[in-house]
Order: sequence, then structure tokens, then C-alpha cells
Amino acid sequence: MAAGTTLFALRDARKPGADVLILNGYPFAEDVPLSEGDEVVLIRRGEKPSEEELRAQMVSRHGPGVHAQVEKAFVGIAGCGGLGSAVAVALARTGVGHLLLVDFDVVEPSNLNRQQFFIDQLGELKVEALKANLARINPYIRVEALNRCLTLENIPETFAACDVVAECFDRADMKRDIAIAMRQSLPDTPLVTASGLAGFGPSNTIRTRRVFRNVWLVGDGETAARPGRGLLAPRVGIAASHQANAVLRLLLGEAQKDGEEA
Amino acid sequence: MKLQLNGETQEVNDAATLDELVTRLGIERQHLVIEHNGAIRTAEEWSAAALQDGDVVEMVRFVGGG
Repeated sequence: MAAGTTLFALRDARKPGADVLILNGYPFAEDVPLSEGDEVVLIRRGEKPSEEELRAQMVSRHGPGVHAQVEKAFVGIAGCGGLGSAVAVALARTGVGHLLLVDFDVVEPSNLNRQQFFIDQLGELKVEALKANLARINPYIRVEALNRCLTLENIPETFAACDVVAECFDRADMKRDIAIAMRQSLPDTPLVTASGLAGFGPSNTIRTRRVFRNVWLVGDGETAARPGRGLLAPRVGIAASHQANAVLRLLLGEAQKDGEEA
Repeated sequence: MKLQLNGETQEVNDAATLDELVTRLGIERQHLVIEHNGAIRTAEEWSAAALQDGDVVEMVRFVGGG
């Protein structure tokens, strides 16, 4: 960088007409001198950054080691409701390169209290609506939307190529079935499952722990959804974030080191 | 007989199989998954799964909500 360069001079040279000039994390409306090592982001409103620009932003936030690991990862998400939609959003923002979304439901009004859908998506297939929402967050990751009812029989073939699978079902019998199917047919693929996240009990009773070989469980383990004790955005969101973090820690090889905790 | 039950050592008597252990402990069977010495045992296998001193048993009962 030439000595004496200013923010406006850099804008005119690199991106004429940029609307928003961010220097070291703060927006500037006035011209200021730049110094060696400053971080400048030039934004033209409405313009989509290139894959390389977005990638550079994520590498600077997450660290090059983390980004290199997550961008080559393939994560399966079994169920795209309160847990699955939030896990998918967190992993897309983290830059996980390949996501498989599986569900058989459509977006209903009762989903909007906690699920990452919008009122103009009512009636759409959840996997298609979620894929569209992820594309608005990060258009450069690969997202597969699979409209399928998962069963003990088809779970192994569905997730055979995944590095990690997140169990995000609503029904307890399906949670049981995927734990059994993964352990029996894909024993080397880690599974992050969730149980006990209804209501508005204390946040800190939701934990992440390893329960079986290659199976991690998020939740308080007992608070079931039932009439009078519903599923609310805060606690479902806490559990989903535990799951997404456990997936990330598994992709980075951290959870395996700790053994019990993730 | 001493078992490693959900990570803790526990003295368990009068339970020769996983099925009897579930009964002794009074655990609800619905949506229960058991790992016995590192292997998943489905509900149909519990009555044939004999317990021995030092066995490692992990039990998870899944509840609904997501």
C-alpha cells in the first residue's frame, strides 16, 4: 500500500461507487488515512459478494484451519423443524460445504413460533423452504433438499456418505430408531441427537454428552413436549446450538478428544 | 454384581439379563435404547442379553420434541 493512501482513495481505486466503507470493523462516512495492517471492506448495496470475497471474510473470522476443515465437510440433518432448521442455519453460517436436509413435512403456521421459516413460506415443503433460506445466507455452499420420510430401513442409505449426522426429529420413536440404525449400519459416522428440550425450564439443564460409542446427546434428557408444555424458540434454539456446536467440534476432531463432553 | 451403569459403578442384584435390569430399575421401556458392552441391543434382545460382573451398560430413553 502506498504511503498516505486514504479510505476514499482506496474505494475509488478498488470499488468506485461503494456505498458502505468499513475500516477495522467500523463503518466510516468520512475520509480517513489508512495504515499498514488495516482491514477494509467495501460494500455496494444490493451487490452479492463473490465466492472468494465471502470465503475470505469467513476465513478471517473463523481462522484458516477451521474453514479448511468445514468447507470440505458433509453433514446430514434428519428433520427440518425447530432443531433441524436452526442447526442448518448455524452450519451454513459456519461455512460447512455440503448439507443434506431431509424432511417430509410442509411449513405450517404452528411452526413459526420456533422454526427458521417465514410467513410467506407457509405450505412449502420444509426442505425446499430451508434450502432457499440457506441460499440467502451463503449461496456458495452445496445444499441437497430431500423430501423423504425417514425410517429404520432407509436411514443408512440416506446418510451413508455423511461425515456427521444431526438427529433433529420431533418424535421420540424416530429418535430411538435413528440411534439404532446409525449404530448398527453406520457405526463410524458420529450422530448428534437431542432429547429433552421442551418448555421454559432453566437453560443450563441442557447439556451435551456422549452416551454411546459415536453418539452424542443434547438436552436435559427428560422434558418431553406434551399438551401444556410446548416447544418454545429459546430452549429449542439452545438445544439446536448445542447440536450445531457438537457437529462443528466433531468435524474439527475436538469432541472425540474429550470423550464424554462435546 | 457390580455394573458400570450410565457411567457410574452400581451394585445390582436380582438381574440376570438386560430385561430384568430394566424392570429392577423401574425404567420406562418406551423409546429406550441400551448399549451393552459397546453394542446396541434392541428391545427384542434384552431378555437374552445376560449380565456379568463388570459389564458396561448405557441407557437412553428418548423423549419427544424438536
